[in-house]
Amino acid sequence: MKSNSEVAAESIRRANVMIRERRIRKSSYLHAGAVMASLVLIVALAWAIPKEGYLSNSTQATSHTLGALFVSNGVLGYIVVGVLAFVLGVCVALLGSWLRNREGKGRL
Amino acid sequence: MQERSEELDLYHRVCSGDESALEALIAQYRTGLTLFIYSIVHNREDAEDLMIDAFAELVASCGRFRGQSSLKTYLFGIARHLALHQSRKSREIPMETEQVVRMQPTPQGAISAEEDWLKRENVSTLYTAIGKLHPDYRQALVLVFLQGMNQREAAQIMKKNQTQFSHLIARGKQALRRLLEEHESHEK
Repeated sequence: MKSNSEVAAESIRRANVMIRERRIRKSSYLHAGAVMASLVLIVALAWAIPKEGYLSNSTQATSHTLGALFVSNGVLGYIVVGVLAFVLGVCVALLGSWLRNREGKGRL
Repeated sequence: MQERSEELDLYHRVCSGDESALEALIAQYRTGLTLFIYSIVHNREDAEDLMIDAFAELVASCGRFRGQSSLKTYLFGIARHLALHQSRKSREIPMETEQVVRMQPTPQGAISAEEDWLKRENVSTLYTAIGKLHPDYRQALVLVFLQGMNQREAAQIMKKNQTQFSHLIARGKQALRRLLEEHESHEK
């Protein structure tokens, strides 16, 4: 049977492991929450952007399309939005990979 | 009140990293905690392991205990939660009375070998009967009669109100009495 001091030492060791695991779990939840919030923001922005005159060729309609939010030339605007979406996707993928590596280190 | 403030002081010393305070806490509650956990999980190794986990959880969640109940109640509450979680994972194993009797502390002072043997036999009979009770009755009786807690504290640990707990104790005692009477009639 373990002595009281051995039980105390083992309790402290296990407590440190518990504290570390909780910290990792908390930061994972925070990061997941941040990613979800970003996605919700993007979807909300896309929903808020007016869709009128999307297919119209008139200059007035062009000013309401997505690209016109950034530049007066609609085509460049679409390219900018596309590049931004790609960059965001890459960032999310990198964040996910980093989180996974960090969790893997935490388990070791 | 003084006891409560001494407990809080001990708890704060444990949280500030004082190992001697943790050892004092372990010395005070270790045996009772292990026996209580054993009454739920029915395995000595698991009970000792979970006892260490309960103290680890107390240290890891420092600051959560604010003195609304006694430190003993808080600690036993943690132990019950861990033990129930463990017992749900493993199948029901009958309580090994011999293991429990061995866990009992050796009586202090002048006591003959015969008296010690008789005492252990009585404990053995009692624990055999307790082991056959419904888990809730068993936990309630162990907390009140074997761990010396008052009904209010034991009700807090089992997450019941006092009326529910009183009924639990009454029904548990009736069931235990019936089992002990059956045992006596078999002996005769």
